[in-house]
Amino acid sequence: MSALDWARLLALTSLGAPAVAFVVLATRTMLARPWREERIGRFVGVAFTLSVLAAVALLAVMLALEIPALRVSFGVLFQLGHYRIEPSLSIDRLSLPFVLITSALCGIVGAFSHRYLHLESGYNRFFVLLTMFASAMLLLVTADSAVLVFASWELLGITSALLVAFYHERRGPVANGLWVWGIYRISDIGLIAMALLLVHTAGSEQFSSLFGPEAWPHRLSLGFFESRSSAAALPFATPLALLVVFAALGKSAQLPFSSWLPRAMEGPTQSSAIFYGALSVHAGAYLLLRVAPLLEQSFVARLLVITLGGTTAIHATLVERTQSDIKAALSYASLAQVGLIFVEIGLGFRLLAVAHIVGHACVRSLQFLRAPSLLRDVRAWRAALPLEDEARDDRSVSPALRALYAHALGRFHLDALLRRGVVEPVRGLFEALARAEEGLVERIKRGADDDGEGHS
Amino acid sequence: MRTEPSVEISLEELIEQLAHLLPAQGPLHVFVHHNTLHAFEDLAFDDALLVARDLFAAEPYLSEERFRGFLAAGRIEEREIEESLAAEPGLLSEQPIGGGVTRGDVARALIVRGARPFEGAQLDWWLSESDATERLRADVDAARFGVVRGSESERQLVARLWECCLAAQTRLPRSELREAASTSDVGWASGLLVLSAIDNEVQRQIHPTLISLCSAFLDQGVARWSMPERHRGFYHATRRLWEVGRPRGERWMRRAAVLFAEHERAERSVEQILVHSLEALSIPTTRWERELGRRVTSMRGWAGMMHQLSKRPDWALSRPPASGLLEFLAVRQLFERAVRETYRPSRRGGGRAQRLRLEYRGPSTTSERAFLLFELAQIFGWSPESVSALGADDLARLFETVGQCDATLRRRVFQRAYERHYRDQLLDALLQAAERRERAESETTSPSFQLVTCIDEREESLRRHIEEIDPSAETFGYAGFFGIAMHYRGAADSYGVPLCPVAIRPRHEVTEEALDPSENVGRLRSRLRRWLGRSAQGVHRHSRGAGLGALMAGALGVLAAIPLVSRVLFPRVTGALRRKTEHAMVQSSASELRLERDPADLPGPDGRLLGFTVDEMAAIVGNVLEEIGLRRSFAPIVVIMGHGSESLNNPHESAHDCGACGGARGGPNARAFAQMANDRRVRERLRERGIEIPKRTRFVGAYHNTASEEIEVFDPPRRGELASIDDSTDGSGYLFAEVHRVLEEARMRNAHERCRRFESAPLPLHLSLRAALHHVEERSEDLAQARPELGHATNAAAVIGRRELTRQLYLDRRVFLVSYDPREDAELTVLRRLLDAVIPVVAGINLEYYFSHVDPRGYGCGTKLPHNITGLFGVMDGHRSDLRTGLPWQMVDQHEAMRLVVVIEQPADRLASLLASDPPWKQLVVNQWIQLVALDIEARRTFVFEGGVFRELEPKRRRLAQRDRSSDWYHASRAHLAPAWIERRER
Repeated sequence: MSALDWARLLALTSLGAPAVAFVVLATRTMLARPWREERIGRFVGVAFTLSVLAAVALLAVMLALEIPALRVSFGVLFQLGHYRIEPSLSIDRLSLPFVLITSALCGIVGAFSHRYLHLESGYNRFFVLLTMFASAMLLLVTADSAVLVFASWELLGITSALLVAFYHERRGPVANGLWVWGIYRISDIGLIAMALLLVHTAGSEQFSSLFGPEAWPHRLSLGFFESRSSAAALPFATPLALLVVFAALGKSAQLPFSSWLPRAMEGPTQSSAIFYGALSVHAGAYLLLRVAPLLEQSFVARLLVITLGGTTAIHATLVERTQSDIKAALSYASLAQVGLIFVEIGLGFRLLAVAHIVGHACVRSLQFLRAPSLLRDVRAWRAALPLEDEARDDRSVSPALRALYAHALGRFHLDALLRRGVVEPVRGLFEALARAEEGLVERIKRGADDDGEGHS
Repeated sequence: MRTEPSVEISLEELIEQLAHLLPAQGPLHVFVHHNTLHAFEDLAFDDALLVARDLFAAEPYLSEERFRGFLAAGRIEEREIEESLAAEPGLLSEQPIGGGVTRGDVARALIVRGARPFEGAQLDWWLSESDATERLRADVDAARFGVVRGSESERQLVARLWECCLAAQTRLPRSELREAASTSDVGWASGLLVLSAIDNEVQRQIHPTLISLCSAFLDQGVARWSMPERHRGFYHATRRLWEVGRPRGERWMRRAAVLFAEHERAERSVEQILVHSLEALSIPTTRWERELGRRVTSMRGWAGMMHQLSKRPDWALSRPPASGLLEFLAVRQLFERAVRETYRPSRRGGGRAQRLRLEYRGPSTTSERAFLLFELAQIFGWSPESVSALGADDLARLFETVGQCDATLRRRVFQRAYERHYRDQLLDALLQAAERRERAESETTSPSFQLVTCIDEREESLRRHIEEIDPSAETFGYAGFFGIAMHYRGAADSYGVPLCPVAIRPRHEVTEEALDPSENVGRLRSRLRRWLGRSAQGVHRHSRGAGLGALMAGALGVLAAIPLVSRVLFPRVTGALRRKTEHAMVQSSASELRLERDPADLPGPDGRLLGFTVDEMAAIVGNVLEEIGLRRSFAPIVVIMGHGSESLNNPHESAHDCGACGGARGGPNARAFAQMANDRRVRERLRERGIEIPKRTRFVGAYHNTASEEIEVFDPPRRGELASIDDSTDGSGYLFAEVHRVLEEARMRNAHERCRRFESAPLPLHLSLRAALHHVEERSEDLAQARPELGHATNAAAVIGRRELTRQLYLDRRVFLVSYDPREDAELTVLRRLLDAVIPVVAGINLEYYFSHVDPRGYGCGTKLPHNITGLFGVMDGHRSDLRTGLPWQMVDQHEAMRLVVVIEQPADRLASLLASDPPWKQLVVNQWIQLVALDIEARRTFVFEGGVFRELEPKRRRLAQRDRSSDWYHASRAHLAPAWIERRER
């Protein structure tokens, strides 16, 4: 075997171990024969350890042998004329940090959950979802084709929604899970439309063939508003980029979709940590990085990313300051950082964005995992500090600030606005259509009956 | 809420009444166990459960399914069911029904065997889709019917039986039909749970807003930006937000703004505003209590916290709220009015009231009744013919009995049997232990050392292990604040905390002074401490913002991976490392308590006195020693041990701490007590009271961490050091080294015993003692550990008497042990003082565990995994839920839900006279919230207080197992263990 084959093997191990774990656990669940806690814990532990070790080894091999990018192709899925759908994976300098951090964080959360969920009735279900999430996330960050990205994007969405609704015996988690799922589906429109448009206009949906094989390894853009990509100009670059941006905004809870993130804090603590603090919330940012060459070709899309990212950051910091429960506060804190990451991507500081994502994922996971210790932590440092002057509550606040506070506390009513501005009209439309259809069917039936009677 | 008010009551009274419906839990850091249904203690236990069930839609007892599981496992015996059935009034057990059975038989069959729980549509499905009408029940002996299982004959027989049961229904008189249906129809229809669709919609609209407002208003320091103008009260703070913010999110918010403005123009007071809203909602005055009760219970966690924090501003961590329940209701009703006026009921579907009827009811449809008869026929072995032979009267009597034996009665009977089993087992063990002790040669040796711990049932095992290791050691139990009600500030703390039962507001202030080698070191340490505190606070705050947060995440974020990995994967090592560094850096190596006060000193600005006078100290020490019965024969070393518990990621950490210290850690109390008792002047005054402490006796304070099993000794006498009390040559340091060795060994054995309950330690317990200690240490340092310790789970009894009663008995960490010597208490003054303090505390713990276990959703706070700390005072379930009170499931899942058996070493007549003098805990006893047992140890008789009198119990004479060591008894089992006699057999 050549060194390249070895590297491929490592890559497949790293990506495959969680997937195998998922398949095994899911199969046993479907057969109604789930393993006992101890066994599941050990099994998942082994899978993630393998995955992390393989990823580290792969990093070493790729650095040592100066392999810029590793491609694993699964052949052509579909070809018709110049339409060609060819799912393939690519591991380059963008994917590798994400692979590493995904398997490491999922592994840590797996170890955490094994103890945390002890004797919980959803133990098995949680690990099925965790391994599914990890597989989807790994697929997303290594997919080289828009179709694969879409597939993993969907998997990610459904696992997230199911984890939000983890405590499905209560009403709140289910309602919020549905809300999250709804927003994901809306933003998915962008991704699927982009994939179709890409195939239609460029004839391929493979990133490497579209953007040139070396879009990421060598062209680490530090620049500003200028295109450095070697990719040939794509037709319809602006519509394509706008569609991707739309998809990314939903997944990363940027404005105007922000309100789903605090709602996602319904699952067990550690699932909030990993999904909404560390990984899932960065998926949109990753997507933008992946199609950065496309983004560079559209000034409008970049401007949009910068504007919305910036606004989200401001919005989230303001809201965060007023939230008095720790999980909502942390979720808005995440949002502020993701907003800034969007700005960085829009400005073209891609390397910075990657570093920011990795650092933010670590910090936020730790903070979320420690969230139930808040009372203890606060009391510890209060004891160490001289008593604060608490009278500042009473000082008068200017009306403008008070108004700002009122809006921030209400999270700028994004939820209600979305519901009233989008959900209710859309539902009204569909209800009207449904009624119209019923009426139509009724008329046709009556007509047919009349005909029948006429004949008899 | 219990009775329909016929007369108008004042708003103040109304608020007071409503407050009774709300949980009385304070903020999490002063978690004090209390009876969840404290407000209902004036009712008998069983009645209160039913009232509360209707109010809160919560379960009164465990499910029948679980009880039948206990029956199958031998945890409940059939004869115990028999006994508790006999206590059921109105069930004429002996009356024959027909078919050769009595009412008692029917009741027993329904309880022990049970009908399969199908009703309504579920039954229809079951009848049509399953083989229920073709096969016998699995627990029925087919031979009794003369058929073979699985054969055609069985099919035919069962089908015929079912036909006969159906046919029998036509013979049932009409009036009986109604009777049968109505007697069992418990008053759920009047319950608060009957929510109309409109109520639901109103709640859905206003609760999220109301929750975020309450949370912001009460916040103790999570949000960086606090609610403006909180000092003006909830109503006005909210109104001002509406004025300037003009929220427009939901349609009703606009209307609310109009209402706020209108009230402001009319210059109405908050009371007037509430009344105004109620009138606008056209609720008549007579129904205010009921309607408002319905509304507050739908958000009772938040409403309760509003009320509690306004009643006890000293519980606030930083900013006590300026208002309570009244303003909450004013805002809530204003919002409700806004919603109702925005969405007029004429809108499509709005006026349709969906009644949500959750009820326990008897069989009411024909097929339900027929199915019950069918089940009973199988249990009793009735042939189809004998079912047909049942006359109208027989059937009427049968269904009357069935109606009486509704689910509530069945569960109540089970509950009593369940409690009886444990009670008999415990009392048997106590009596037999007394016999064994009598037979054994009692040699009086002078004790090697004495230990006073908290009465906490978790200390039972520690005391037992100490006595196993050193048979000449003596142990005592006293409430863990050791009589010292103080406000305490540690050397490293900038503010103090009360260390005494919550009912007391301490009047004495005690501070710890650091004794650093030099002033510079002290200053350096305090500066370092401040710096560390400030940076922790800084990281916490600023990492959440955009600017500095970005810098931290981008530049230093990867460093967070180090604690992330080490905390999760190597919790024990990480924890130990952190503690060591912290210790070395910021904690002073030595310190002393500022305890003494000059009698002439006046109280400080906060009304507290700095320290205690010598007389006060002598009174405290004297009372405690008197109550535990330690007046003479002092050992050279007396260890006073407070306790507490430390764990990570546990918002309910304080619930594991010492209840007698108000949910705080009782180390300083033990230390202060030792210091007081070592004072020569105190001892002189004690001598006047008849308590003679020898000069060579030295008291030593200690602190037991019940999670990690760490035992910290304060101011230990050092080896070679002379006894500090006087200049006798007897060095207590040498003796103490020996005591220390016993404590070390005991804490490891205690850790080992605790490990048997943890599934992370494989059974049988092959762990070495050291490994067991590491195991519990790891749990207390583990972020992922939802059960760092099991707290008071499994608590079941309290024994108030001499240690001789319980010594050498393995009581499985389930019994509160309160030391009390009846021989020196002719007037019962000591007992009265003791019970006044002890009974409310232990009953509170026990009942809180009862309710949180029986209904973790209605009374407890459910699983802790999605808990979300809010405002530093409570937890929500995930995102914007009601504030959850009670105990999390992880704390109570191992519990056995029983009322506490309180055994007092006194004859029944003396306790009866004590009860007659109306002690504050009388209601708890008379209304059966606890089971009071009088133990006359000389006569070997036990009496239980039931139905207003002491009734003698018959000893069951179960065999009391004997083992050499505790570990021989517990090492192979995770289950609850019966008492055992621990004595090394001489061989």
